[in-house]
This record gives sequence, C-alpha cells and structure tokens, in this order.
Amino acid sequence: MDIKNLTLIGTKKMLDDKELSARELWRALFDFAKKENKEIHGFLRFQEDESKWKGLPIAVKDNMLAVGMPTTCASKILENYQPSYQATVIDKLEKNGLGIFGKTNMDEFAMGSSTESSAFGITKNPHDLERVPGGSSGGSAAAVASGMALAALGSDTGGSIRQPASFCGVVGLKPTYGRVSRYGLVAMASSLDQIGTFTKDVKDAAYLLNIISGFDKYDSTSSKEHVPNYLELLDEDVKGLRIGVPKEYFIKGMDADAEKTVRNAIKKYESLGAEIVEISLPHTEYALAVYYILMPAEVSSNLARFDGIRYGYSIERDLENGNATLDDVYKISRAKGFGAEPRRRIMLGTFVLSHGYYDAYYLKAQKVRTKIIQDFNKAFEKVDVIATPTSPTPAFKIGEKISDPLTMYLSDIFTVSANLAGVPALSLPCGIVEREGKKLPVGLQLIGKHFDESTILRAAHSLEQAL
Amino acid sequence: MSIIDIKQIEHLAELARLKVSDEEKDKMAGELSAILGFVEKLDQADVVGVLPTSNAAGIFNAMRQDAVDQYNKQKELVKAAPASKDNLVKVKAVFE
Repeated sequence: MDIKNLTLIGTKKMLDDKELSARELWRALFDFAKKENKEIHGFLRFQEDESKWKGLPIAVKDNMLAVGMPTTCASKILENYQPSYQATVIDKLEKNGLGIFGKTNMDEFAMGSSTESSAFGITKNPHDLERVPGGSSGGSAAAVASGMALAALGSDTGGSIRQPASFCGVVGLKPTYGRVSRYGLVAMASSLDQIGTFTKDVKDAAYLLNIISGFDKYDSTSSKEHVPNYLELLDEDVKGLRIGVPKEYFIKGMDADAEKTVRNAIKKYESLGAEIVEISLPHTEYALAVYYILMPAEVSSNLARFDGIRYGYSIERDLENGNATLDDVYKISRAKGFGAEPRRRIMLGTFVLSHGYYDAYYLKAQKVRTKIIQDFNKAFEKVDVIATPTSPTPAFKIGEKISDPLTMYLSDIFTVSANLAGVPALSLPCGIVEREGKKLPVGLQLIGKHFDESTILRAAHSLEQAL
Repeated sequence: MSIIDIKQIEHLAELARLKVSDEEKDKMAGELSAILGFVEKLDQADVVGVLPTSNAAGIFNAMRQDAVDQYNKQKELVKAAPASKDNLVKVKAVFE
C-alpha cells in the first residue's frame, strides 16, 4: 500500500474489494501520520478512539464541530471546548462511510493566510519546511499534500481553501455560497464563509462534493438548488468550452515564474479545444478593500458570542475571589482568549460599523460588492469558466509577512472576489517553480457560475489529465 | 486619510468589550489606520444608484414553519459555562 498516494475513490475500491480492512488502513495511516506530523504539524489532534476507526478516514479543519473531540478554532478561547452537537457536514460524512481521522491546524478563527496565527503552533509546507502552507486552512492542505490524510475539509472566507491548496499542490474547492450547509461551522464572516474540500485529485473533489452538498434546515442560507451527480460529467472534454482570462488578474507584482506557469496551463486548454477569451472584471481592484471592510464587520459581530459567560475561556475559572465585575469577565476573558489577529479584526469591524462611519465604510463596501457581482454576471454571458492565478506568489517563508498585517492581506488578492460574488472556485496544481533548490507548486484558479461546480470540475479534470 | 487615534481605540475597545493594554493601543492605532488608508480606494468607485448586497447567491427570505424544535442537551450546555448553580448559568451581578 502506497500510503502517501491514497485517494478516496481508489481506497474505497480497495475496501469494497476486501483487499484491505478499514482497521488496517486506519492503523497504517495513523502510524504514518503521527510520525510525519512531528515535522509538519498539520494536525492538532488525531482520532484516538479506535472504535471510530471505520470507513474512509478524512481530516477536518478544527472549526467544524465533531462530537467526541474538542473544537478549538486554533484559539485559546476555545482551547478545551467540547461541542454538544455536530456539524451537518460531519453527519453527512459519517452517513456516507467516512470517519473523522483528526482535526487540522488553522489560522486562529480562520483569520490569516499562512496558519502562523494559530495559538497552537505553526504548520510547515511539506514541499519546503521553511515555508508556510498558506492559510487559513493550512493544516488541511499540508495534511493532504504530505499524505497524512486522503482528503480534508476546510473553510474558505476569502481564499482559505484555494490559497493553501495552491501553496501545497493539492486540489482545493470552494463551492457556491449556499451549496454546503454551514451548520456547526464556527462562523467568521457569515456572508462569505463556505465549507469545501482538499483532495489529491479532481475526481475525489467531485466525490466529496456529492456527499456534503445540499439544503439543510438548520442553515437558512443553504440553497434548495438541485444537487447534480458531480462525478457523472467529469470525463467530458472541454472542446468548445469558453474560458475567460481577466486582464486584471495579471498584474504588476505577480511572481514572473508563477505567471508563466499559469499562462502555460491556460495555453494547454487551447490545445485541448477550449476557446480562450480575454475578458475584463473592472471592479477587481476594489475587491480586497471591500473584503477588508465587510469581513471584519461580520467578524466583530460573530465573535461577540465569546464572552466568558457561556463556554470557552473565562477568567471566571481563574479567579477564585469574587472581585471581578461582569464587565471584567467580558473584557479580560476576550483580551486573554483572543490572539492578535482576531482582536485587530474585532476592533476594525467595530469601527466600520460604529456610529458616523457605517455609511462611509460598510454600506459603501456592500454597494461596491454589487458592482463586483455584476462584473461576474456580465463576464459569464460570454464565457463558461474564468481562469486566473490562485495566488500572486508561490508559498512564502515562515515569518516573512506575519509582522505586517496589510502585506499579509494582499496574498488574498486573487481569491476574495469569488467569495464576494458567492461563485464557486477551485485551485488546481498546474506546475512548479524552483526556489532555492525546492520545488514549489503553483495553482490555477477556475471560477464558475453560481451552482455550476460541474463545469469547473470538468475543466479541472480535463487539464489534470493533460498535464 | 482616516487616522485612528488612541482615544478612538479606547472607545472601540469599550464598544467591543475588549481590554486593550496601553502598549497595544498605540500599535493598533497604527495598524488600523494603515488598513483604513488602504480601503479608502473605494472612494474612487462610482456607486450612485447601486443597491447594497448582503447575500451574494440571491437567497432571500428563507422561511420555515414557526415550530419548536426540541434540543435535549440542556445540561451539557450549562456544564460548558464557567459557573453554574441549580442547572442555570451563573453570572456576576449585573447591577452594582
């Protein structure tokens, strides 16, 4: 058994054919991952309860609630939090023959692009241990890339699946807003958050999307739109498919080698019979600014629930004297429980929503968001898929950007638009660049129409076979 | 250029119920000002007559029956709180 290269579909066949027992599989993967994790630190914890070693093992980002183990969001404020209920996606995985193998590291509350803001230590990129795996779902990406996991779930608010998938050389899919229930996902920015997948190939992405998609009465933003069989259309070719290349995504400051790799991938589509169309998404330049207003505003509201009263870290547990006031419990618990990035975003969000600033920031950003959506709608009248780089650079060095928040934010520049518009997007490994003797993966981003994951999966599958 | 000063940081910290140390106030004022400086490019966008978006996938008015769904883990929820009494969450006095 080639443990590092196991896929979901391939392993399922081995289990179904009784070539391998689930127990043997879990034991082998567990032993391998425990050892590998000492260096990579993609997992925060593993499934130690052997009675749960059933079916296909899958890793889950530590912001989705699974009963029986803590959910921490890589934050001190939830360090010992034991969920009393389970996320809908976890229920769906378990009902469909998958088991939770472990919980993966992430930027604290999914806030970051490098997994360096985790309160429980950084994760390293398996392709170069001196580099970050990307973020915020860096643990999930690194776990799949290193072979510690067959596949993983992550969440994507501004690129948190696609950017780490790109940095680690795996397939990362952010479905349409509303495609997958978020019940039991710890909310960061509710108008943008979406659960998605990390897999070793496109087929596994389609397989997992089949399982996790669909309406859920516990998530009022989940959609009743029909869920097709995503595996069915995968093998069709891309002849005649119209692929739009937006000029705004090939900008100054883009890594030259990475750009060349992405352009070559797009050229490859032409040789496969697709039609390449130059398009324009004129409001792209505003996307990051819109994102860094709307997202912190929603963060400041969502994180208000961590108040030191009901669950999570509280100074109430530390102080034996009764001197603290109610106000102290709120303020000190939150100050000690949250790390620097959540605190910064709470303050920024509070500012843009505060009296006298709401119209100038929040309302304005919501209006520009409408323009960004209109850009996509117009573009999709002419093309079926939009192809761009996933990230302006390959994986950067650990420590390179963590001290300057604004520089870190710029690494989301190509990914936030899809969240603002709610459209599905996927990152596919499309080549490598060499840096200091290390081979670093580059990702191609494919963006589709609302609820048209089928087309981006088909386009990705076609290129994957050709590369 | 919107510059956030220490006084505003203190006001925001109060609104957000977040204790911020003196040293951190200074740092935050600088970082927030830099981010707000960056987002000010939105002033160049023409949004006259444009409606704001809150749900990008066009899901409006998700309705359901106004029916009670029982949740049977009340004890577990209370147990998660740092302090409880008689199966109720206990908090500090609200009035001094």
